[in-house]
Amino acid sequence: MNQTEHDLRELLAERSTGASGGGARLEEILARGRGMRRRRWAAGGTLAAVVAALVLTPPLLSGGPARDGVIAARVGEPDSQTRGEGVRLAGLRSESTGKVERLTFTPKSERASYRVNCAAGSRAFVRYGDQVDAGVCGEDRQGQEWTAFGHFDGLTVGVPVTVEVFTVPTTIKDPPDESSEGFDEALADAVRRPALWEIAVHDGGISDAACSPDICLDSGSRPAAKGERNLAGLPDGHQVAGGHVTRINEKHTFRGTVEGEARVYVRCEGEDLHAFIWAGRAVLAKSVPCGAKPALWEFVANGPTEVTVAVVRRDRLPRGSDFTSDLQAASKEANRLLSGLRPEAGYWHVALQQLDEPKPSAG
Amino acid sequence: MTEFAEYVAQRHERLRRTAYLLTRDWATAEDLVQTALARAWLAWRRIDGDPDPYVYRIIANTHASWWRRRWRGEVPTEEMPDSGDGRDFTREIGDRDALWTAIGTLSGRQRAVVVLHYFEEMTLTQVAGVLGCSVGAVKSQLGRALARLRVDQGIRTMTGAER
Repeated sequence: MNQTEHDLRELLAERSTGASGGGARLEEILARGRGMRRRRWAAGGTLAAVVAALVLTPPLLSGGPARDGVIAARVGEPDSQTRGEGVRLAGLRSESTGKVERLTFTPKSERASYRVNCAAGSRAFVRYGDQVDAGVCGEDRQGQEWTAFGHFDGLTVGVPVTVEVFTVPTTIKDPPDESSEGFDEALADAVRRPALWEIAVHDGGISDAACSPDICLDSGSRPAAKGERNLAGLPDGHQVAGGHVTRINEKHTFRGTVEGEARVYVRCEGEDLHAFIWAGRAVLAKSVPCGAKPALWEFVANGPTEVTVAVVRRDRLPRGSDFTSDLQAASKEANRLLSGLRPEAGYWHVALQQLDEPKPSAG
Repeated sequence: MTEFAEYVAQRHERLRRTAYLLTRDWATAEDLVQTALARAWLAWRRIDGDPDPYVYRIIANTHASWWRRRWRGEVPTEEMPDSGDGRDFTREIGDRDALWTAIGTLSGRQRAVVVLHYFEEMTLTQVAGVLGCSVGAVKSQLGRALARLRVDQGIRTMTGAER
């Protein structure tokens, strides 16, 4: 036997008998396990609940009709729910589930908080060292789109930190435990598909402000506490009409009052769907394949406005027809197509948003 | 007593010793074992058969992440040294202390391989299973670890000049 190996074995055995552990502390272990289970999202859940309650209280933007579950907020000055939010340290957007993204930031204090904005039906995983958080995006009881929160503690000021994050659909069974192994297992099992989500890391605390309007379709968007724009750089806005639809192959009409610039988002994530948006009921305004980003139609109007939307399977579109660039032809084809299709189950989301600020002149 | 409680009662002390060899601090070792067992408890219903590989894997991975984090925090712009600092360990301290000190210079993963193989008496295949890597990777880590121990000034003196 190699002498060094022999020495090694003896040394390890000898050195590991140095102190008495006083027996296993089962209660401490179980308490720690329960704490792990609770800790990850307790802070986020509490904060989100407080934020939701506060956000629902302020009056809606000028001209915006009060609606149950529709969130809008003042633009400009930080309000009470965002006061504890620190400066944004980093952020990124992704257009794929099941694909890990890495975000590096440099702490300005020992604590930073993060927010993952994703559509309902997504589960987000965030890993920092051995800390793994997992939470579900969706709607809470106030109707607000859910944002997953968490925080990183024990940071060293000025020392860059990289965190890993990815999302998966909540349809996965038996979600892995919140451990580094669980993170790797979930990632290994995940299937990549188009879906838009983003993560923002702020110094200190974080609120639900500054979610990009193409993700938080119906909760509205506002600048963060420090006036930072949403990660997409889109004009902030709030929903005046919209909703979730559970059937495809049929038209759905939405009515709302807008003043000035407005937009319609249709979230029909996936590679197998196609969206049609009509101004009113007859004029086809947009015909686009669904993808990670929601289908978008921007317009200007004053007063009561009506938009009609339909989503169909892409493989139902007649081959050889131009459904995206020639809207006049597409309109006839779309009407003919829809009249021959039977409604099917399918989940998509529409939001008619009033812009709260002008679009950038360049865009 | 539940199955998990039985496992903790039977295995806690051994796990604590392993954790100490990784962390070289008894308080940290206890913290590491409790963290690992708490995580194992969360996943207990999903563990098939012997829980040891799963628990050892959590211990190794958790230690590695703690190690990385401490390293980042304490020496953010430097790399760990590749060899000892050149002191004559045999003069300053005994052979065992020299070896113990040299082990302390190993990377977290190399130390895990050494501890699992030489203390836990795991085969390289078992070590690979615990660490979630290939046997080749374990061999490579072990080879580097042993080479590092052997080229250490103190160890070289001990194994060469004095024998």
